[in-house]
Amino acid sequence: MHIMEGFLPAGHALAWTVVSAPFVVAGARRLKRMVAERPEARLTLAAAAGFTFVLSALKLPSVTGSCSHPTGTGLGAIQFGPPVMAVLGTLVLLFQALLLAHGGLTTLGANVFSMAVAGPWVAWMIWRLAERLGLPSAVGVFLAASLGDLATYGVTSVQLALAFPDAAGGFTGALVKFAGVFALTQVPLAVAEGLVTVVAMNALEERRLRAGI
Amino acid sequence: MSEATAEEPSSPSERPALEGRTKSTRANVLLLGLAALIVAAPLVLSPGAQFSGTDDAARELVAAAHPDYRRWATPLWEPPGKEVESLLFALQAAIGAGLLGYVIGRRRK
Repeated sequence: MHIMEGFLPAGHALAWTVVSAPFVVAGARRLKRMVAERPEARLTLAAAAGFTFVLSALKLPSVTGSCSHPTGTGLGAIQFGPPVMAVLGTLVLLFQALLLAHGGLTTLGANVFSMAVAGPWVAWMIWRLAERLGLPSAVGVFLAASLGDLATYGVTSVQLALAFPDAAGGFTGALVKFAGVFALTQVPLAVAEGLVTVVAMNALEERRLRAGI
Repeated sequence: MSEATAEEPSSPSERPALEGRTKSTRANVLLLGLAALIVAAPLVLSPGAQFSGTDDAARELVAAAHPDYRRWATPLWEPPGKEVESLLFALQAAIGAGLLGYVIGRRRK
């Protein structure tokens, strides 16, 4: 889902930065308040940050014959709400842009929007919906994490299709092409991410019970 | 593992909780195994594939459809070579796994 440095026209790069910035600022405020009010949440917060760090570092093979990586943003979105993930996701994307030449600073806004805003919000909404429907919590976590992961790659496809519409098929034609690259590859990886998120959630829940907090 | 021996049920009333835990451990192992299977399956199912990154594939799509697009920014710094890149990816994963493992393994808040 990383749009590479310089691979969005300047207008698009700027627009996505403007769109993403308020989410990150609001998230930073929420994060600050949360840590002040509930200092004990810091450890779980560190776990959510660790989860997205490790998962987004793993480039996994998919049935399409390409590699892609999960995002790991669903866990934190469920536990702390999507605004907090805007901050944690941005940290991951900055690490990768600066040290790995993965993504970039001009495309940071677009990448933040797909991975740190859209994915967490979709995950959180699915989680709430599952709760309202009375689904078992593990099923809700699985659906939230998987669909949040897929949403991130869907948004990347839309971003690229907007910037590079197809000569013949226009936006829709380009979207089909980019989604063919990103979304298809992502389907099995999103399922795997959903399963692993359930395990991480179980482990954190068990820790919570054990520590009595 | 030492944890398991330290938490032997001392009274019958604690036994159901322990049973619940072994059950959830079994579920976790099953879920992780399934995830590993999903990730490993393509290696067997598509033996000739290159498994290159989708980010590169997207860049190639752009280059093919819009050959006149000029990349207007390049990374400030690029890892010198594949080995250093994989080192930094491993570092990212290690930081993440370390944090996660520390929190889960910590006994007290």
